[in-house]
Amino acid sequence: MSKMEYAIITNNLTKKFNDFIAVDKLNLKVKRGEICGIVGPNGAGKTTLIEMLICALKPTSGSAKILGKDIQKNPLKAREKIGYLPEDSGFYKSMSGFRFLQYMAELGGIEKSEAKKKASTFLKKVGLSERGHSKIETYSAGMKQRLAIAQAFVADPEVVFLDEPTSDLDPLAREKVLEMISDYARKGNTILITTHILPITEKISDIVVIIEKGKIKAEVILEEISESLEELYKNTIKGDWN
Amino acid sequence: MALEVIIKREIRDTILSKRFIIYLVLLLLPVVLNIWFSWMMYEDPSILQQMTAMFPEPLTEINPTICMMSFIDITTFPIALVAVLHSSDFIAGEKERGMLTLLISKPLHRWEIIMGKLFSFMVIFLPLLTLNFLVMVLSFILIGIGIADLNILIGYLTVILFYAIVYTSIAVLFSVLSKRPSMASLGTIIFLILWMILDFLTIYLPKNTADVLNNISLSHHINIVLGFISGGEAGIFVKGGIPKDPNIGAFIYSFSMVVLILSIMPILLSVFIFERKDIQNK
Ligand SMILES: Nc1ncnc2c1ncn2[C@@H]1O[C@H](COP(=O)(O)OP(=O)(O)OP(=O)(O)O)[C@@H](O)[C@H]1O
Ligand SMILES: [Mg+2]
Repeated sequence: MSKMEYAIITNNLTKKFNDFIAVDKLNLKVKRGEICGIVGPNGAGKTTLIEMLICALKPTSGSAKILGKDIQKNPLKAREKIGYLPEDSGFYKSMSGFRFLQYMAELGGIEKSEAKKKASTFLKKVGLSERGHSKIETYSAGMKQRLAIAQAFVADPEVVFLDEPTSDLDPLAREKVLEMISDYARKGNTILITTHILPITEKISDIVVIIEKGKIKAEVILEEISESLEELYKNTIKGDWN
Repeated sequence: MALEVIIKREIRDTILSKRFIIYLVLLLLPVVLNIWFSWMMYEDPSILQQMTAMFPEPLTEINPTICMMSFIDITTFPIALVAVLHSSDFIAGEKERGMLTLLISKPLHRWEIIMGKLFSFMVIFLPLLTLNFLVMVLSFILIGIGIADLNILIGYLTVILFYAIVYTSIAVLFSVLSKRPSMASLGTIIFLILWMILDFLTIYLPKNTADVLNNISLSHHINIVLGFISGGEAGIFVKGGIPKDPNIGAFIYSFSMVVLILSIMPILLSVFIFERKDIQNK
């Protein structure tokens, strides 16, 4: 099996905050071109996992590779081809959506004139063309979220991490965005997406990983299960509700 | 590549921001005040006599050096304010905006974020301070006070730029250590106030103790540097005016203290800490 078959590999990846284990010896493999949905209760460690994979958090132990590049030994190369939508994404609010996308593309290594083209293309894809030149501070919550999503794709990433991308989107926007994500993966790119809306995960993911207390509780290929994801989720997650 | 992108954006957005107008006002205020004050002293030398009453030989006639000396005292505060307001935003501001993890996810070195912002600020701040200084020098000529020797002018300009660089470096360090720019500003300001108090203390302490404390006094080192560059012709008020016997050894020591320990070290420390830190938006 060539190493490049997998876009994301984690090997006993662990993150502790003082004594609290947020991600616990996690072993995850995501193939190239796959959409991997990560679900799990609040505080399961989904965001922590992604923050380690984008090299923002240093793993306490274990290792991970993105496109074959070790995130600790070669953090710069590991981030060369990634896109990321943070959970509480921020902006430079006095910028226009267009300039923000252009800037994010340029930081991702895209040359200026190309970055401008990409910015226009992605504004269109998330339905913000008309408002592309107004300041971000004038955008509604959903418009900001669309911009944040566009930003994650604007620099031609081969692996995209999306942490809760759809919470503020209207139904139509949600559909369009999910379509965009699926199309992007079909071109051979890999997506790791967390969301609490199981039907969304069910709709777009190839594989779903259920995480609880930093550990993988179930890992399924959606085509291969007979029950619904919601049933599976409820049967898998114990929760602290009693 | 990423560094260049960051620098271009920082410079553009700083100059176009509303904050920039506040910076301009803050930095111009002491210039205008000083020109006005110098003009008054020029018109009525008795003010000058009263002001320099504590000098061994009180001045009876205004000269450009004394005008610049009084300028340094009123300009360090606005310089500190602008340096702190701007630089404490470098990292803490990105965190507060929720931009930090996003920036980190880009294929760039973390130091590029700090250095990009620092360089952009210096490229704006230092020429602005130089321009202000030149405006003031020009005004002295126009008023009729005259112009000081070149080495005195260079000495005072160096002082101004050194204050700006040191305050900025310290604010950057606080920005890396803080979660919010407001906390970083507050931290830096408290630190600077304590540092200034120490400066004043050295004036009243016995010489032995003062000599020890002067090793960590910014104004002391700057005064030595100024004394040397100006050939013993210029000084700053806080340190009691022109330093006695500014020899090359003392100059090199003080110059290295200001440049290496007080400017470069806080930046290196910031980068060192930032490179190793866990970054989250929360
Ligand atoms: N800096 C930190 N210090 C201490 N604990 C932390 C820190 N960051 C995260 N945690 C803890 O780690 C656990 C996992 O957090 P994480 O944000 O990864 O959860 P999540 O699965 O993304 O949850 P949600 O669905 O609510 O977004 C939580 O219990 C959280 O409190
Ligand atoms: Mg989360």
